[in-house]
Amino acid sequence: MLLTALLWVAGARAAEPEKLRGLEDLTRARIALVAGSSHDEHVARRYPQAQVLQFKATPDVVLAVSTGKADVAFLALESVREIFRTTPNLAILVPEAYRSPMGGAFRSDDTTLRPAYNAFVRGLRESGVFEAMRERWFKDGARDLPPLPPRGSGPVLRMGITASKGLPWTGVRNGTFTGFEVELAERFAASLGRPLELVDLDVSGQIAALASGRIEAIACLLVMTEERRKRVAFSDDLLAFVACVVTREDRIAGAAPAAATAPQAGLPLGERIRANLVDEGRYRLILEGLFVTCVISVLATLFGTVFGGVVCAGRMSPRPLLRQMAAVYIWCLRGVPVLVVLMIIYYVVFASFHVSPILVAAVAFGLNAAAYIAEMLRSAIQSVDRGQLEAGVAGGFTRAQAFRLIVLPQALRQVLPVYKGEVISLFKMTSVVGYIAVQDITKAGDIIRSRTFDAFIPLLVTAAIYLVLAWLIAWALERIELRVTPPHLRQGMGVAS
Amino acid sequence: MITVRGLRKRFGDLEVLKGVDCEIRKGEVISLIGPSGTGKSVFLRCLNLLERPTSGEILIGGQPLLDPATDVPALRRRMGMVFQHFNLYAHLSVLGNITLGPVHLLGREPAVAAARARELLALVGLAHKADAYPDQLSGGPKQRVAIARCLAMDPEIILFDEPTSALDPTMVSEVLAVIRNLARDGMTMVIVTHEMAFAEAISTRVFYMDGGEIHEEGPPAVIFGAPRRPLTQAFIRRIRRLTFQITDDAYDLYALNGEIERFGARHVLPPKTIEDLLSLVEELLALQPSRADVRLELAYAERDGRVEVVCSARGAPLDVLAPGSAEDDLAVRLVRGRTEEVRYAREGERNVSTLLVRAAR
Repeated sequence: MLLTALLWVAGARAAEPEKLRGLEDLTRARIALVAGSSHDEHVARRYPQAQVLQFKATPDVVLAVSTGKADVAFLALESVREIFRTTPNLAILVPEAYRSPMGGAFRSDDTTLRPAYNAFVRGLRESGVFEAMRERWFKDGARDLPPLPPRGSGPVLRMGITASKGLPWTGVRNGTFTGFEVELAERFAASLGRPLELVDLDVSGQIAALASGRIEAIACLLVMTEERRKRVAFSDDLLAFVACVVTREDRIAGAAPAAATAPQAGLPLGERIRANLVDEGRYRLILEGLFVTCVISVLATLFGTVFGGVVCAGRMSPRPLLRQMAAVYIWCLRGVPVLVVLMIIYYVVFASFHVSPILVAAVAFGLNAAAYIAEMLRSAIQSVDRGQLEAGVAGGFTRAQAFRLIVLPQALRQVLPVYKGEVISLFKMTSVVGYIAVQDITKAGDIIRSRTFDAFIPLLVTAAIYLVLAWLIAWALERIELRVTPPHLRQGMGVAS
Repeated sequence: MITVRGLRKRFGDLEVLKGVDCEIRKGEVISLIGPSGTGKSVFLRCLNLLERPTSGEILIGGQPLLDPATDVPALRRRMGMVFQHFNLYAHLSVLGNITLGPVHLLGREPAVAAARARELLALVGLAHKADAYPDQLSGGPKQRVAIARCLAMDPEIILFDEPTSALDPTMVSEVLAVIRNLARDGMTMVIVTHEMAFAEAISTRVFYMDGGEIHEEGPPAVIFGAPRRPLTQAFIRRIRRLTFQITDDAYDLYALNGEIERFGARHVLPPKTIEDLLSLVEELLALQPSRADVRLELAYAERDGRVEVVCSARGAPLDVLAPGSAEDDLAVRLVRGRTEEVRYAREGERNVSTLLVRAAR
């Protein structure tokens, strides 16, 4: 422990990092980029010796560079202006590392939507609206959607976007999606006479969602890489994507050495809190996220508990087949990470049904919890000595009555302390639902980060909310525990503190 | 009220009951005695179907217990059972234990059931423990609560499965006293027990079980006093008497003491008497000139409450307990001081001393 601390301190005081001059210095650099983005392919091809740090979303990439975890980052040139507003210690090292066409993406077997999209874009260019949009978002730095043509009333058009990409592409303001891509998608849907539903997915999840039929098209503009062309059919070129290389200001050759500072460290704390929580109604995102987290947790707990009881009954059944099935179920669900279960259910099981992802999450976490709860219940039931059941039966109760009146109350009391732990862990595990486009608290924090590029406040607030809620759950379950404990055993029972 | 015909029970390859026939009438107190592993408990557990017999017939008040159409839980309500390990419901207070059955099965009002429970607790001497929980009670009170729990269902018969075997010796008598009171009040009971004195005292009939069947049955005076069949006779002799053979000086005193203590516990002798017996036997053995062939026998006569200690030693004629005969006169006085009567006889090549010790009641 001490050694680690010493090493860390020593590392922090390591010699001044080398200055960077241009692309030639990237050969062995630590390069941060968004996983699954076009940079990924480019860097792998051009700088095979570089150390690539893959992040889930743009804000993480920005943070990695500004805190010195990475030497440089590959970003879209258009995103940089917005990023520099909030993270002033960054600078552009190379304004154009490479250039590549971008466009919307459709299923490879699509025959109707893609031609319609191409025709729509052509029309947009001819009428001059496309150029106006570019001016507005990329040059003037617009942040809100303009008045849009009315929404149609046909069947819903589901398109994928990535809110964490940030403005001017896509962002969240006042609780709604905004940005160039959003406006384009809205206009496209209106041209089809269909209402639009945007599904927020990470860049790396877009193509999988398209393949599974969860979305009909990808509205967030993708760079047309070779790899992607094999998987999807792209629209005609829409824009040229310009990738730039960003690094910390003080790392650029010739710049004065500056103290390493956290992003926005210059801003007073009150300002930062305001920027992260109040501006653009961001607290609403957190509140909505909190609500979603609670809904998923409650549903998953209920479902997991009931289904856990069913699995436990199977596990203790006199019929070998049922016992086997329950054992296999428990074995599987305890051996596979819940996140993988979640994605399997979302992308595979429910691929072609449009079930609310919140429900999918509740089912996935419930299935996972059920496996654990079943085993807890089983060991609790087995811990009640058989003699009591026998005494009940000998006294005239049926086996079911004896179980319900004698064994179950004792088993439930036994199981409560471990059950409490399981519920809290389930509650915390729900933080991964962002993977299937559910906006829970964690995801809300991510979205805020993608606008403010401040890691500290959103993560801290998120952590504090989890902490308080976990404490509340523990407190509530301990009240129940206390109520079912005979008075003479209550002493020394801790109340969550 | 219970008729059993041709009852067999087999566990895998092991046939535990090999055809039991009997008839138990209302008001009878039946003791089931016999060596361990002869199916006494299994037989008892077949009577309320906790064990399912392999074949045979059981009639409870004329109703065939093994008929699939019979409402077994309803029949069980009329038969209480008291277990060796009490089996009180751990999550309920004493009162809750007693009222659970009446409230849920007999449809009694909770208040009515509680009032009746308190009466029954008073009957078993535990009125002050109504709100205690089972884990706050020691063995004796637990078993008395278990008996009260049975009584709360107003059973027509109570089955006792070794009710005192798991108890500390000091608590055996309080449980036996409760059962004795029930017998006096005319409760029909079947008791599997190793407490022979108790069985002899309260039973109307005794079933001696051996080899998976009722080997001999009869009134206690006959079974304990003058059993007819050899197996019964051997068993009764074994439980009545303690025999211990000594072949050299290095005999195992602790094993002998252990057996004497068990003997005392079996006959519910007071601790004082057991202590007397222990020191008396030790002195008696020390007084023998040779311990090459000494046979000790202890027997308890219930009727006059006396323990007979017989020490038979091979050797030249010598009465080790004759006053002034030994160098260690103090030891002789100690032994005589603890006995009521001492006799000496010469039998063949052996010196036989017989000592009578009155049990301190």
